[in-house]
Amino acid sequence: MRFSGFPEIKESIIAGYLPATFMLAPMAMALREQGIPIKIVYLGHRDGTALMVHKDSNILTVRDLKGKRVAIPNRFSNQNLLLRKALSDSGLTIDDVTVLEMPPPDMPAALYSKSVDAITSGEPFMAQTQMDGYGRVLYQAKDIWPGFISCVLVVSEKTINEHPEWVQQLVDGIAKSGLWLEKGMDNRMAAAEAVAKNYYNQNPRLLRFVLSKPPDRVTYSRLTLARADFDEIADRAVKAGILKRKLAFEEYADPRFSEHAIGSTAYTWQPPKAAPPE
Amino acid sequence: MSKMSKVMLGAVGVWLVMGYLHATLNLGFRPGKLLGLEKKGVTEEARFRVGFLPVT
Repeated sequence: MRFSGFPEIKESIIAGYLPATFMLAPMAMALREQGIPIKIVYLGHRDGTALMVHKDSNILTVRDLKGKRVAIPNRFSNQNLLLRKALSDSGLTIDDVTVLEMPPPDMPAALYSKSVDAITSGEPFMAQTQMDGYGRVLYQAKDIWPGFISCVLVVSEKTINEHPEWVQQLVDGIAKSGLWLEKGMDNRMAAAEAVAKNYYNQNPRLLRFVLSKPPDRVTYSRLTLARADFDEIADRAVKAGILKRKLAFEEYADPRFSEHAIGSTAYTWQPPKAAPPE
Repeated sequence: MSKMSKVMLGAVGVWLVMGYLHATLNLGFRPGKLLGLEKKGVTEEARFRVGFLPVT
């Protein structure tokens, strides 16, 4: 089910309407801290986040963000933590910028109209500004935080307890899809076409751009839950005041499904052949 | 047919149409489903819903 904002996703899983969802990693941890019975079981991808500025702006380095307005998807987003890290690496703090929360689909228009100076979110909204000619990449997540994690697969404990086989099937499917995507650019282009039409309802050209320029803009390998990655997120979330305390990995993650998916092989799916031009 | 019979028949017709509209629009009556012309919604309900935002 497609949503347009993370708050709606959060409410849907709290209400039990969604047995599973992709969600921002720090948001999932915060929900767990508040006692919501959910567990992180897998990653959706790695990298795939950028910070964009207007191509005409005088922001050429992270230091130039001082005093500027930066839009992030949500307070409980890894993009928030990434921005804090980028600022810290450049000798600034989050207090040196004005942070605004904004649904990612609204970000390109905000940058175009210059109502904000910079936007940061997951793709494809960042690439859209670049492809349409008014956005410039200030940084890619992979350059600031290698192996960056944004969205994770979250499943309700009720579903895990009652239907672990469903969860495993879902995790295996994501693992196989990721391996298939990483097999080559042809597969990425085929996926862009299929996903743009059937799931994202976006221009296939945009997704082709996201999945190819550069090819490692979004990666679909190393999706297994790694404790060290989540420890880093938790540490940064506590420092940012998003989490009250550092939760133990076992409190918010269930790595059984992820471990079972190790050794999966890529799908053998082939995209349907396009009809010859008339 | 007398004029009275025609009025009675018309009234019954109007009552049937109004009743049908009320049943379909307000009460969820689906005649196609009863006649087997419509696919059952069970598959849709039984689907495992996974939420996502169209961002990576």
